[in-house]
Amino acid sequence: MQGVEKKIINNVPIVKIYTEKFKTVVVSIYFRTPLTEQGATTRSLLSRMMVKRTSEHPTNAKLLEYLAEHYGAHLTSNVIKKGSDHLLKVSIEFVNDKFILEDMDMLGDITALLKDVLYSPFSYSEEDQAFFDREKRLLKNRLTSMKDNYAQRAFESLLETMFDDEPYRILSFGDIEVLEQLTLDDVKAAHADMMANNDMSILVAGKVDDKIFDALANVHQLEEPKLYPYKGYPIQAPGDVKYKTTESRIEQAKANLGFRVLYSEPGDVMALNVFNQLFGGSASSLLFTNIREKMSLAYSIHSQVDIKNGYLFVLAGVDNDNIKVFEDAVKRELDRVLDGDFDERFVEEIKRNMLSSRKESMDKPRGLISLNYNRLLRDQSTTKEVKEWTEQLKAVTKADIINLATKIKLDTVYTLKGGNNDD
Amino acid sequence: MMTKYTKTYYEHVDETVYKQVMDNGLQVYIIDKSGYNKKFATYTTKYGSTDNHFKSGDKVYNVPDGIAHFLEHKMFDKESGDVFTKFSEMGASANAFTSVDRTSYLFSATENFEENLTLLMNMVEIPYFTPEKVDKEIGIINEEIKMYQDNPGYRLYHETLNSMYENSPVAIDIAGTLESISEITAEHLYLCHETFYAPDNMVMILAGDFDIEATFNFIETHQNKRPTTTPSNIERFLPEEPYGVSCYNQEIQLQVTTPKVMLGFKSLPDDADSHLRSKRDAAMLFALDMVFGEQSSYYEDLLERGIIDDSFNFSYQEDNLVRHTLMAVETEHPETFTQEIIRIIKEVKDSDFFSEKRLQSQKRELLGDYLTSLNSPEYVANQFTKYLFDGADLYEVPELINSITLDDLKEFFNNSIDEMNVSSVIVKPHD
Repeated sequence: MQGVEKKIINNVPIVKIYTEKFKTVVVSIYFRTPLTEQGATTRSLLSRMMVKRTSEHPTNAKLLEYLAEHYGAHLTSNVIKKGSDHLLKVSIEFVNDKFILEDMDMLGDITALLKDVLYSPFSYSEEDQAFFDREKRLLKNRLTSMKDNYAQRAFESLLETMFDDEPYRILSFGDIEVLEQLTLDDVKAAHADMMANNDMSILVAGKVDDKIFDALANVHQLEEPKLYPYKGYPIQAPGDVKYKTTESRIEQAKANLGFRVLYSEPGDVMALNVFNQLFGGSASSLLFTNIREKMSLAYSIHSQVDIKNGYLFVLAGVDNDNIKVFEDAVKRELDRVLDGDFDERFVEEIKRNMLSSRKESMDKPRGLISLNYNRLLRDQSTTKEVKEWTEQLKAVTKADIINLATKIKLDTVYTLKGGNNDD
Repeated sequence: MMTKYTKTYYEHVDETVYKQVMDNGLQVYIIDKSGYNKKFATYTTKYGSTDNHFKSGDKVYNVPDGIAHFLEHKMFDKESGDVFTKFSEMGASANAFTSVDRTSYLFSATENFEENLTLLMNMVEIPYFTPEKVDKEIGIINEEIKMYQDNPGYRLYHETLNSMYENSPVAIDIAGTLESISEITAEHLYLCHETFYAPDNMVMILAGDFDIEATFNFIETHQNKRPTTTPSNIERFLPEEPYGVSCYNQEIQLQVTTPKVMLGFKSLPDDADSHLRSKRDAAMLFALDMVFGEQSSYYEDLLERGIIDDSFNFSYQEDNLVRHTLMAVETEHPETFTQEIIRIIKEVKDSDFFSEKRLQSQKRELLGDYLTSLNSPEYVANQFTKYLFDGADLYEVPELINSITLDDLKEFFNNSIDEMNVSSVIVKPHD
């Protein structure tokens, strides 16, 4: 009993994902626009402000009280980097009618609240300066304390080194220096632009009937269609490998490697997906079993990819004395793939596991939403018939993976190295 | 044929649970999650990082700190190779964790469920340790311990427990220390496995879309083939813990940008039964949230004055080993933070602070959060085990929530937080 239905009402696509297995309903509203440094930071701050107070619930305490009365409905916002775009997402999760004991129009109240959330920044005035200052300060604290996580700090530094003057260097939640310069007018302008010009979509998952379309259509209308194609950055070959090391007082070094994949045919994208799982994306991967388990060279190690852009990252925690040995070991594992020194059976296993985690993601309302959002973006980016994800996955062979590996080029090695440990 | 299992339907949450106790004492529960693709299994022993001093048979043993966690790591490493790999080969993803009072092994799969379950049972039930493998593991766990040493949040939490508790094993790092784990031998591991991995000291929970009868039969067939064991008779020894905190003020220097502070208000476990403990746990959550939550005027004031930011968090923890309230924040004014928190606690105790209207909406909120959590089979299986070990029932939480009164909040807040019995730990940047 699961069905997906899409309607475009007033130029906004609304996707209903019907399922009875959850005790809650989730609505997500996406706003998509090209990623810029100023934009990412402003929208990051805006996204925080939007879910803190609204015109109808003018203090954070009042808004929280209203949500609590609605069985602790979870109102959240976040910002995401995707392809060459920046997404601002507002979501709300609330319990199914059948668990509600009082007489309450949950759906009516929730959609009215969403509209209130989306429209409130239009009415920000000088009186909201203190609110703005406070959220700015809180976001600054958050950005600062993220750097206290050494793995996160090392990854940020890898991005800065690798994508020196490319926009991908920018983090989805913004930059402290840009944040310092922001004014309330910047936030209002970013909001007005978002509401008028962003590619907007609404997705809902749960046990809901067709009334949901009209209810959600009321949340926001667009004057004209804004269904922009979804794309990554142009493929760019790296020059000489960039090396950078920073010293810090930590016990364990963080060694990060960044690679670029020179995509040249459509099948490369899914091949990279499989390659990543096989190389370092899972506990049975080459990096994990050979470097961590057999050689005991790292406690933590994994690889991750930005599949749209063809970027591959290897992130590890290693002993200070083993950094060079580690780097060579990673290169050796890449050579192993190039030499075809891995089983067909292993490839099939990896593919099965990928299929399994895809099925697992459908056991979560948010997983269903993000999967269907990807499908929505795909459908509006091409008029060609695209094979389903599952079929693309099944088609990947060992030869495809070896062929893909020839297109992987090391770009940057970044190390956060432990220095004198006198504590 | 009579069925050997029982079925319980919990109407208010629309959940169904099946239970069968195997002949060897192993309890198995199946939680129905119709429509889910994933099947989830946990196999848990009532054995955690605090079980270091115990009597089994007529002998008393003291084993090195960190051994439960060490054992957990070693259970995946068999003569025929790494069991993680085998799960993966059969399309499952496996994991394990050790806490203060239990060790859990788990996997999830969308196919080959029975093969994976057999693998899980054999892995957990049949030990295999050698001195060589133990030595190699010491190296791996050393790295894990070091990694945690670099995590300021973990260090802060751990130092706070250490400052509060003088003798209690809850203050011991779950992974042990570099010294303690170097003393672990294969013999220790066999002893602890034999003692604590006995079928009647374990619970298995399955969550997903199952054929109930066939699944119980499958597990029963496997369990009946195991060698018979005598009922285990484990006695755990806990050292006497004084009321007062062990250390009032502690400061450590780490590579951080903003100072972090944690306050630990200690109040020892009393003779409350599990029902009262669960009730006190929920009532304290309401009370703390009313006083310090984002919608309170105290929170607003502290935030406006820049004493806290949105990293501020608090929790109350109570079980048979511990009972304390923790509060933490990242702030440039750790001393002011401590003074203000203590002032607020006194003020609340001396006034008629708690509100009935707010309690009613808190109850709805908690109920909503709880229902949301029930979407996750992982959450359900893990929490079901936790409640079971504590003598309670996860699905009776809504009734528990409803039974809480305003007087409970006042009473528990006044009796569970002693503002004079508090440890303060500050993590500061290097000078």
